[in-house]
Amino acid sequence: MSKKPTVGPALHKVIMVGSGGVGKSALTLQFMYDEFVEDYEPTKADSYRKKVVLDGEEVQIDILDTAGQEDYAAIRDNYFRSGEGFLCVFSITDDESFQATQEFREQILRVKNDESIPFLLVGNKCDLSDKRKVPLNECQTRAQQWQVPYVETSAKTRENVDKVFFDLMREIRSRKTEDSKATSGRAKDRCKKRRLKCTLL
Amino acid sequence: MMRYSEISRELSTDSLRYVELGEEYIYKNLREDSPRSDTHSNASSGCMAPPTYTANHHHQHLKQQEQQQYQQQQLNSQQEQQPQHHHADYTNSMSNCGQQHSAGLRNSKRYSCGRNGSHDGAATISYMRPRKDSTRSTQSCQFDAEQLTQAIASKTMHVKSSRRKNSIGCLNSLSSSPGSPGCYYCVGTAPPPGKSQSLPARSSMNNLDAVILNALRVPADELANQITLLDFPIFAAIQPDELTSCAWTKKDKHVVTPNIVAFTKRFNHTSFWTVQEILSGEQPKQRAEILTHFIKVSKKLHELNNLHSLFAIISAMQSASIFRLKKTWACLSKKDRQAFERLSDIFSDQNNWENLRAYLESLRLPCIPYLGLFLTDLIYIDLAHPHKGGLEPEQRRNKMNNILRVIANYQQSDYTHIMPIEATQKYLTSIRYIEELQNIFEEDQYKKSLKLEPASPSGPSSSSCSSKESFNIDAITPALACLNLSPAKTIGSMRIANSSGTKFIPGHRKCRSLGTKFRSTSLPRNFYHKCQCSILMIAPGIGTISNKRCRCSRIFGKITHSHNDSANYGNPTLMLGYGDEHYLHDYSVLSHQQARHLLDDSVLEQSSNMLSSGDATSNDSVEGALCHNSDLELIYAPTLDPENCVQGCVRRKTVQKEGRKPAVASWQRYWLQIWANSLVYFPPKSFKGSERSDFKREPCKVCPLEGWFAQVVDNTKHKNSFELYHRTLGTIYKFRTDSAQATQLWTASICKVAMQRSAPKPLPINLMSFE
Repeated sequence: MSKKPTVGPALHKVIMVGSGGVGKSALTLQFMYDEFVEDYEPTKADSYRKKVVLDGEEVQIDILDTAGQEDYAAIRDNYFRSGEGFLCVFSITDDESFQATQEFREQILRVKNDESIPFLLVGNKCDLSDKRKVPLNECQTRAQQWQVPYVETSAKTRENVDKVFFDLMREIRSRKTEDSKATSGRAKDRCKKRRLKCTLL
Repeated sequence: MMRYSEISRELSTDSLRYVELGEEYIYKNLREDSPRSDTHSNASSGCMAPPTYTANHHHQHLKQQEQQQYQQQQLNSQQEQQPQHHHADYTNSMSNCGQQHSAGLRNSKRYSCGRNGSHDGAATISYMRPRKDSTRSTQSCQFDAEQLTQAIASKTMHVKSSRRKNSIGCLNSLSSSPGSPGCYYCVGTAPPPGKSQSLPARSSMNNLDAVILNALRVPADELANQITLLDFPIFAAIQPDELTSCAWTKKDKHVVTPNIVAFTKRFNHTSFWTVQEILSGEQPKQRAEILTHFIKVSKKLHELNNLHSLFAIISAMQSASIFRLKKTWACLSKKDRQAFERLSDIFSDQNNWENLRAYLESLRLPCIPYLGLFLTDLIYIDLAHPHKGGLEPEQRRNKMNNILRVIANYQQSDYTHIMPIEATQKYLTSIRYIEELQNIFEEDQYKKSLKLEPASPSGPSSSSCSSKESFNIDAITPALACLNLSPAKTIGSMRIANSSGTKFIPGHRKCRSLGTKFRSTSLPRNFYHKCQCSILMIAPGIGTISNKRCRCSRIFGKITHSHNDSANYGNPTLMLGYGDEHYLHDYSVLSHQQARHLLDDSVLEQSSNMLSSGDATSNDSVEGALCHNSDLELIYAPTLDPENCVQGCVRRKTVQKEGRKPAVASWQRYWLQIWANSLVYFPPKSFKGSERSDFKREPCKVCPLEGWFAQVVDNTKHKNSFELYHRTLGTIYKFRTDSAQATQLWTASICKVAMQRSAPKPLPINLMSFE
């Protein structure tokens, strides 16, 4: 396998992105604690870290959600930089939050400089379908434009909550595998070359 | 005495301040203030001139509605218990912060200056116009015009005529910020040449109305202090129920959580200002200087435990616009870079902001924390234990109270030991920043960042600023990298670093110098160290250099052949660039003179390629190419007859460099020559002598003359002197010659050359343009 010594389960860093009030923290809480919110303690170092089993493999997810700090514009760039995958959340009952996703996407791309960064567009509050303000096809169109998956969730009913996190983690994981293949691939080539030389001798 | 009308051009309240007015709000917490009606009467109380309104009658209607609503809320709130103590303390201790810029404070009567007494009624009425349908709002501040006239600060005032301060929400200024921070002249008067005493370094300018136009001119400590004085009252005004409401991201945040909103706005304002200031530096070194200054400010804020603004500035440096400025960062000293790393570590989001939490706990008062941390915690507590009416869940109450207690404690901080400096505060609060347009500002700033340091197509450019001015061209024009130019220590002039162990990276084998079979003694040798490209892409303007890439390596390497892959290498050209304009001394002109192979003098066929590749044998680079016969000389300097080329021995002293007096300035001897449109300096060989032979063959400085002026100086102390100065760069040199005629000749020639622009030769078609 890889040359790296085993350090424990892989850690996937996920960033929750979206305007205030769309429910991204609700998603996070739901995913992290489910019905065990009583266990939640805001100040602990691992309050937002969890071990999960992703396709048979144990991994760790670390979620960064700066809910409540949306108006602190300048801090975003730096924590975007630290992210491996992004859940861009808006509320289907709030068109403005949907419009804002465009800005977030641009900002993320600017910082990460990579169009294929693991990224999911998430339409939250799908339980409030009668209050929907953003037509489904619009959401899907945008996701297609960006070439990212689109998933609708409800933190209230827990619909698709796990799915978005797991899907994103899959993207992150495959991205990381790709990257490591790219670096180790060259090493293999070098080995081959050397081998060739040897046989020549 | 500078008249108000003179500064008003730059800084009149109309142009500087954001005059849109909206609502005024009474904030629950300012209960000591007189009731609502006074907010209007405040204006008429004689404290200050009535605010100017932009005609915005729509707001009148809204105003009424909202005020009613607000009044109701105020009544409600009055029944609640509110911690009073810090307000009382605060009023007394709050020395006059002349201008409270943010929306957090309504009635500045309480801040009226008992202390400074220079004017009545410090008045900042903050107005806000809420946007009903958005999470953002417009906030604006208005400053009393009267106050501006009255305000006189005598210290640390610097006036800069060429620099308009952050006008119009910076939408304009971002694209047209003139000049470097280092330029200071009295508004309305010409720079007094030769009088270093009159340069407004740090001395007070009694006759000028105090106007700070640049962050660099205020000492870092002072900035940090005054920022803290501006921050604290707003922080202290935040009420517990604003915090428990968890409503600062909701639509009605201005109503429910006005002080939190105001405090956040201060953060954004400070960040914005930081980015703005850094981007105002045209050159990496200038930006690095500003960056260093802000790191100093950060350090001081750190000492003051003002984590709020500290994080604001650190975030600004980590923002996309600034973080990507590799060249700028490369110019930072290691010490500063480490300081930055250390300070940013405090705010690492790892492990749920572990560092910040621990750090906060370790601090003693006074302290202004970074509120965002608590805001997020509160949101989560609210989510985890929602208040569904009835009894508040115990967990919620407990966890929230923990936070409230901690914050209330910080609000007990005492920063009264800091003396307010009105002028600095005025400067700080004068920066126009409109929360609502934040995205546009960010966008503009990013664009400017791109313009200043365009993205390099490939990987990392050199991280060492000292070895060469990489201009992100490493990947493309290795030859320029060969030049080993030291970073523009003298902006506007190119010093060819040919010493001190700078790393030489041979970009192209053949870019080493050509043979020197043909020499002319009057031409500089090794003029272009190691690279045939005799230009010096001097573009002290904005990154234009990367737009006008000199493909000289290829030019010199394989000139005689045309390449399919590199379509741009047609005519080797000399380009003296300056800003967007550059002259092309088209080498094709040389072709008229029998292009010769440089080594063996055989006539070349290709007329367009003067400089053939011969193998480089020595380091006498271009000279071989340039001067293989005297005719070339003519061509090379088409604008001046080389026989009458103005040259001679002079002494030079630096009077001012980039707006600052140099620490050490002495008279240096040079052999000076006007060459094409540049001044070329040759260093002396020894301590005596003023003949050409007493000076070296190789020039040590080349300074394109565009933008410079020369002027004879009447100075009995130093006879026969003239001055060379560059307005926008803020650099002044004084020269001494040995006769009055020489002085006149120099002055006249320099002026002539500086004014002159050769007709821009048509660019070769295959020269790539990057417009």
